[in-house]
Amino acid sequence: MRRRALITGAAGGLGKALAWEFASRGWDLYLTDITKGSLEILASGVKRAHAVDVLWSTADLSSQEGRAGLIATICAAGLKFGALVNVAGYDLEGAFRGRDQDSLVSLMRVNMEAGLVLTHALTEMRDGWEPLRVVNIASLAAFFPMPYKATYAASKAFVLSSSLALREELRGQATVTVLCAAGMPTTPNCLEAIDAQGLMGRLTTRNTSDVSRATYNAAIRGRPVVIPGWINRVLLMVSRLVPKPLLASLLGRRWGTTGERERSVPMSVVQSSTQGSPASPAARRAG
Amino acid sequence: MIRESVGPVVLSGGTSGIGKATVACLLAKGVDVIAIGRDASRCRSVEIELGVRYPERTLGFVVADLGTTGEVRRAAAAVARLLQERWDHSLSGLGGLVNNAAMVSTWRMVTDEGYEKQFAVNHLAGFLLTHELLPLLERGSPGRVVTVSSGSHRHTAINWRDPMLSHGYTALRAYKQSKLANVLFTAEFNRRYARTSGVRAYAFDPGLVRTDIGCKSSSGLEHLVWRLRSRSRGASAPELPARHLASLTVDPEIENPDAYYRELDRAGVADRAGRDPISASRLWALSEQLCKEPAPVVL
Repeated sequence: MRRRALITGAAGGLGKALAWEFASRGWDLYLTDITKGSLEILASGVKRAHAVDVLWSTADLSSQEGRAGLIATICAAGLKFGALVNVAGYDLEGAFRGRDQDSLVSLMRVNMEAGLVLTHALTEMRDGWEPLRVVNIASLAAFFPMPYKATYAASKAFVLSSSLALREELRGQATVTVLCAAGMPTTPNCLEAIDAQGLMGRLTTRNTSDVSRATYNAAIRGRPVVIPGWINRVLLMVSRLVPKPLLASLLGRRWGTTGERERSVPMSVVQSSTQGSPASPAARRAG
Repeated sequence: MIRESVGPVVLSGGTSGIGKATVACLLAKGVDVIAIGRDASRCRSVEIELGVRYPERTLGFVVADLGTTGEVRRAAAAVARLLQERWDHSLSGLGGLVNNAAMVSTWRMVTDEGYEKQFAVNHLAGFLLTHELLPLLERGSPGRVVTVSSGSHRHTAINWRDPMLSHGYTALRAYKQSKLANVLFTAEFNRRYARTSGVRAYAFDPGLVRTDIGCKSSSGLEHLVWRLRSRSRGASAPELPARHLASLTVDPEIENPDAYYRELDRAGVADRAGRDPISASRLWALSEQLCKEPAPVVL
């Protein structure tokens, strides 16, 4: 029997890679993102390369109406799902005081609420007796208090924590896997950011397709956490020995100079699925 | 010497490296050019620079990023429009097509369709552009299709299980695969069309050239190796291959016209993998599949 995966934030770098990974394993897809043009192009590419059915619709997951609209559309079509991949998420460049209040709230809406609401809804719409495979996208930033990325890092910590908890609570109905990646090379901006870090950037970075494959395999096996790249795992282990306030101060100093610089430039929104690595000020834009 | 009243030649990747030098050579030979470039301001500056040098010739630019099939189709339509607007109606065809645009990327990048970028830009774009422009090429003198390949097509194979190299991507592997695809495309094109349409295809090996193709989106070791190689003594300036590329595209007589693999001005022999007819027809079918016109499905 054919299975279908719902992928949010599908038009971003990681979303595209996960859509291809699921399609290459024979899954039908339902793709959503905020913009129509790129979804349409992606859907046609996936369909030509893999013999799967691809549906898509646009949705603004930062609003209650947008999320309800998406769920209503899916319900009306009578679709059932075997997997939910919550990729939609983003970060804003610039320090806390440089962002307006609405954009901070909107970021939390997409990064935190959207995944939860869809997990709640799709557990009911799952396909047969198989558990729903839920994939949530956190970040290495989820493990650290991060000055200059405070809201983003905390929203990812929320994703990590709720994923691990829900995984136990939903046993039998859903498996929850959370991806905690560092920067990924998806756009020319990300490449610049990775280059700017020199060797560290090269070592912590993984191709998006490799990250997607690891994530898919973990989701199918029901594993809890995916951290791609051994160096990222080592960095994480070492950082656990450092008290959190000290860690925040160290990271603050590392990110601070970039934060100062950014205060003078206009704010820009980084596309969906942005990950940040604590070791890499420049990786803020990578994802 | 060129064929008489030859129509304009279309060339992709015309704003830098071998492409730009070839545009200049074609204009110098008395051939008009429609070049395709990604960056509007670079297109504009090359158009002005070469327009001043060759005022008696017409050079048109089409701005398009050949990364997606939609953009390639749009570029082909823009070429046809430009041809109608700016050229004499007695020359309703194209004098030739040079598939030159290519890129290298250290990290695995994908296009909006999700295709691996080197495969999409270096191979699929040329494949589709040739298809879209074929009627105009047939009406031309008839025109030749020259795809800039490379000696890098040797000692590699198409990864049939994973042509987009989702797993185990390296810049060189993807580049070599795309250049082998250029050779296979050329061979299969001739098998299918050379006799019926009169349009012949050639794969051109420019040798080691001092261009920055390998430096544009690479980093670290690849960047360094590319810089060293392209600055080495064996590397030529882009003007040398450009001269031969222009001749191969428009000269009425070329030596040994049946040899589809060309090393500068000589007929060369492609690698065994590039001469395999089964691979060639398999790649053709795959490319057709990947370039199919989309049928929209919206919920």
